Amino acid sequence: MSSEPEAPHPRRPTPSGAEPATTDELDRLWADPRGLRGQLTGVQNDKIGTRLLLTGFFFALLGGSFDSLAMRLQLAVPQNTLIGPELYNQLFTNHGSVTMFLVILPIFEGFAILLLPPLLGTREMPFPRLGALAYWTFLLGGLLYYSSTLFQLVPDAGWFAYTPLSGPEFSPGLAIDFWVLGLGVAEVGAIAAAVEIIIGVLKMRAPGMTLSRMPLFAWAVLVMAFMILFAFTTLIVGSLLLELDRGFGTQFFDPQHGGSSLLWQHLFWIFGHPEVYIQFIPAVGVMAMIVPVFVRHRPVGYTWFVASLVAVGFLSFALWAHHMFTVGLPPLVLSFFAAASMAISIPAGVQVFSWLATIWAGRPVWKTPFLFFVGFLIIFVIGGITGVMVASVPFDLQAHDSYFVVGHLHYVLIGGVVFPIFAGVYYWFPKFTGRMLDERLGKWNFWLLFVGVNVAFFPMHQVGLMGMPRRVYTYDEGLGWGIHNLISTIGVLIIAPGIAVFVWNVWRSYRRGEKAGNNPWGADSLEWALPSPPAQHGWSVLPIIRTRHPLWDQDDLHRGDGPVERFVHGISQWPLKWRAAVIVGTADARPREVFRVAGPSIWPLVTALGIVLIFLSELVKLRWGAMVGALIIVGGVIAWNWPKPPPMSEEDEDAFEREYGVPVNAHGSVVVARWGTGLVILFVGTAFAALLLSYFYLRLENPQWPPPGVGDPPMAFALLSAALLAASAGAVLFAERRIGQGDRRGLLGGLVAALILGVTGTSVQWFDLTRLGLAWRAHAYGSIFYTLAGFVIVVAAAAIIMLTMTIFWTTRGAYSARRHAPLANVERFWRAMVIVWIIGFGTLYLGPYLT
Amino acid sequence: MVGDGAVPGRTADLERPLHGRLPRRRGRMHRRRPGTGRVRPTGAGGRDPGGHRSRRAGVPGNRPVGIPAVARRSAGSPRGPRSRDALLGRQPGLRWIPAVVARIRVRPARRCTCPLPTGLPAMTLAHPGQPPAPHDLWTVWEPDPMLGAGILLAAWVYRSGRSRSRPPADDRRGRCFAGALAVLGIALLSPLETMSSALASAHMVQHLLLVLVAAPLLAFSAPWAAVLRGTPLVVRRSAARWRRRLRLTRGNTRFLRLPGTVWLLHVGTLWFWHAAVPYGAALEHEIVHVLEHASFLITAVLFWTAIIGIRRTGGMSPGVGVLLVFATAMQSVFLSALLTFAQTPWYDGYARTTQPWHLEPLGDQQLAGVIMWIPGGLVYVATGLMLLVTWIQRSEQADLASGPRRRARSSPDASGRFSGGG
Repeated sequence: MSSEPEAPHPRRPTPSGAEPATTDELDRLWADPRGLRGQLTGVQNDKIGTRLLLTGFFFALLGGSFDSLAMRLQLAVPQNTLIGPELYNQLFTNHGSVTMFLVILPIFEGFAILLLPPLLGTREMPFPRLGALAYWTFLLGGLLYYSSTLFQLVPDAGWFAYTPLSGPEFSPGLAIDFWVLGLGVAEVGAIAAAVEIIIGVLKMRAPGMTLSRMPLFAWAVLVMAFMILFAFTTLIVGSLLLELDRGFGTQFFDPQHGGSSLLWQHLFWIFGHPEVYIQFIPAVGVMAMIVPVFVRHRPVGYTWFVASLVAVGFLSFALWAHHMFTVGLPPLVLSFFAAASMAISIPAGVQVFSWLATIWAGRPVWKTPFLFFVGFLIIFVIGGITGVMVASVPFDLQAHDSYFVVGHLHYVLIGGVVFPIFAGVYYWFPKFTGRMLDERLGKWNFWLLFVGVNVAFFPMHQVGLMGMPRRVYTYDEGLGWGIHNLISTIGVLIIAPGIAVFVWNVWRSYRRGEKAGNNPWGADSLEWALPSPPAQHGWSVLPIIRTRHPLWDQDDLHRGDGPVERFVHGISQWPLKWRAAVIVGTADARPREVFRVAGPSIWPLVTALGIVLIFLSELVKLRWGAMVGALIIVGGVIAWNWPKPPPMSEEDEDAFEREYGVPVNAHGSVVVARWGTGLVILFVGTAFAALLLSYFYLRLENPQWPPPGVGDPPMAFALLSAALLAASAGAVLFAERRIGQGDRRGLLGGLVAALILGVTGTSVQWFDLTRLGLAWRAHAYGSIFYTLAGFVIVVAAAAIIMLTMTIFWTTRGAYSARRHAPLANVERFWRAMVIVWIIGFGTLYLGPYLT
Repeated sequence: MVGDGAVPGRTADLERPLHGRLPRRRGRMHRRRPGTGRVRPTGAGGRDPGGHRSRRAGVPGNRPVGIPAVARRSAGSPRGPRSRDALLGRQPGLRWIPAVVARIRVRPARRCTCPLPTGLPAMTLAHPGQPPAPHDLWTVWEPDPMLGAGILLAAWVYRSGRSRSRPPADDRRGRCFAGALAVLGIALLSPLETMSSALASAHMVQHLLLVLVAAPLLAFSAPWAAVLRGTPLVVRRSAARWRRRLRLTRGNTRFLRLPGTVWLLHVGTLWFWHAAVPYGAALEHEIVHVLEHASFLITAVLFWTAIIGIRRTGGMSPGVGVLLVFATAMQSVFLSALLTFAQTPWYDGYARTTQPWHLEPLGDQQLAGVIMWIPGGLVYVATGLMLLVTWIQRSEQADLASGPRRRARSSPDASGRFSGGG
């Protein structure tokens, strides 16, 4: 419960951000270059966010609407011949894959990147170039995936591409490769954006915006981003294994050679179950922003709401097994999963009741965003109830793979995700275009969608219970399913004009909609204090937050305690030569650091092209292309992070710090870089964990491990290389300590020693791997052995490249006792690499003995 | 009484022998000692159906294998009468409790400065010869004198240490410590301990009690200072001396408080012991089994101390704690997924012991996996949420009063280490 019970005063003029004389200059400083160059190098969060949103909507129209319309027309009457079985398979595969990977995810990441800086009271996201990379990879991945239609090689194995159907034996063409590789590129983009969002929410907020004052949307996208980081990484590992099976003849998913087709299901659903909530949680965040504004009341139960978001995140990762009720587990085990699956309705219930209580306490204003909220609540609750039904095992055994599940998931995803997206667009459109969306068209839009969705998807429950399986392209006349399917098709035909109204509304209003002021809805959150649309740099003078609802409770956004106020005004007038942004403490939101945000750059695009090239060369089986791609990535990343000469001298930095009490790191942030390194390590660790899980899973599938005829791996060389690597970690640590004391020679010596040790250790291991000569095509043992070893060696290679670059910069005299933050990060990554090395090769070499 | 830490009711028992009635009690103990033996429902193990654990069958002379000297001195006794008792179905009395406490009290507890080391030797007595069957579930208590005594001694030492502390310590912590000792008792002395020699699932429950209940309670109650204060001066002096001698300064042992290190230690321990070979060895050899439980408990206490321990306040952010708890939950889920979805049972030790419970070895193992998966996972969820809510609420109290933090020079200092999020 919020601490101030009284309702806000919506009629009071809301405060707005100050616009000092320096505003224009700041705007120029933060703007991207004009013209084509600006389009290719631009990194502005507005630009990236809008692009993600628009591209997401583009794919939605392509994959979401067109496919579903075609499928429903085919199913409208029994024995229809409009679409053949092959095309139907391709349509439902495409529909599922596109909506899950290319629509909802980028739309919410777009919302987050677009909104977070104005919402949190800061000028940019922490890694603008990473945001650009996220967009380019997403776009190129999506196009790569969709290019399959040009070659008539459309994937047709369903959106979860179960093996063995998606394996080399039953899907020999390139269609599934398009699925794996195209979406793989897009997944890389999703992870990049997630890293950006995590650091943005936790470290870049207005002074005073403590965790307890953070808008719920920020909490939601924070949870979403962490979930993306964990879930998508697992999927990338799964896709890697699948592609190895398809392209290189490994045996991960082939039971005849020691593989396991269930392993794919595990890896997929470890991703797939959280994926549902990755889509749902940001939608909840959008709704949680809209409800208080339209009922004129503070959200009830803020802390518990946040806890429920995190709880959903936690639970969703533990429960993937309930997608596998029908794989043959004993009932005793299933009952545990059923109980735990129902547990997820507790946090969902907390959210729903929090909203109900908020509405109860307030007085609703029935504008379009609120209508969409009500529609969301109704449809989502129905979907949630059918979800609890499916969570009960005996019921699921009946309903599994039937249209009941189709009805359930569309209720959840359309109610829980699509309606919030519409609500969010109606709500924030005025902020970013300066014009209101038309209210009358909005109501049409809502009612058409609401009625259409219920008409289309409610009968599916019924026909599913009558036995209609999903993914059939047609059905017989005598089964009595005709009427339900006809009604469903009519429902989709009602939805289609609803979407058309929306598109028309956006198009019309963008051109000549009613002008919106700063705060047309009388909202409480920070972004509404800025002009609509906001300037490039967002905030000229950073706001100082004292409550959870600053626009309702604060008369002035820039007044605070003396030092903070002075700091905030100081940063608005100075420095005007470089893009300065503020890092705050995670919990207490006190200013911790002023740092330079990266500017426009072509290298994210180049790096994205390198990534695509790797995947593309695998697709067309020109494997040397992958090497070129890898070189492009390495070169791109090095150029991207090429240090610029610091724009301020150390004396100037000191002077600023003496005056304002906040350190300046004009050469680049210490905190953000450390967090970035931490998240990269987390990413590597997650991928590694997924590979280890695969190793042990395959171990379980094989009573004899290693398989007959293969000896246990001898340990001498592995021990030697592990010892060398461990020593190298010590050397890096030594080097980092030395530079802390200003000893550059010690630094260089330590780094070079570490490099020699690391390269020698890796070479020894490499030699041992070639010497072992396991047959990686013959049995899953060899496959996982070399894959896991290869993963560790790739991580080691990345660390070695980092170290080499560090040595290069050391010889150029880049580091001093004061400026050597990158060294600490190299040391962290190196240490993590050595731990991964020891665990990885420890598992490979000791596994056969211990298990 | 409830608030002051020790287990109510037991403390009375504890203190009585300390006031001058020792000789009589000691005498009684000698007379009664045969009764302290474990009840062996199916006899001395000669009838071990599988024969694969016959190593433990011939009870006499076998037991001291894993018992350190202290345990042997205080508890070791000719085993013959015990098995006879067991054959006769005699119930173990509880009268040994004060007696054992008295005995330990006589010899100042040189090695008993904290509950851990005292408790551990006694765990050697886990898993006796024969697997129990359902019908005698409630008669197969494990009245292990050393362990029971250790727990009670810990309670008593803690209580007397707390009473000496100024300012008086937090009541919650005392209650947590009492809870931790009670859970240790339940895990290691109750029929659960006996069952765990027959069922992987019971063994799993036992491990989860140690790792997910006792360890966090111990970490949260942070009893070490109070326990140390409660011991006689001699002990404290020698502890300090050893600490000096081993150079265990706070700086030296810092790595044991680093979140990443303790996480790796804890997780590594869990995975290592679930591998078939070490697990089988633990079922087979008592000493390995003690080692297993001890390493579970110690690494878990280290892990939970880094996350919810009292001293965390200056160090790690609760946000990192949430992440670490999540990571732990995930590894636990992965491990339990492996257990649950395995096609064949992993542990030969349970091949012939599960049938009396109407479970196949594989089903038993799947049950173990799913117990770790769901109820175990819920503990992590609850802890994670608790940390999160504390974090949010504490940030609410942090105000702008002090303005931007003044710091000397926030250099990307040697370690590049800022005091990251509070």
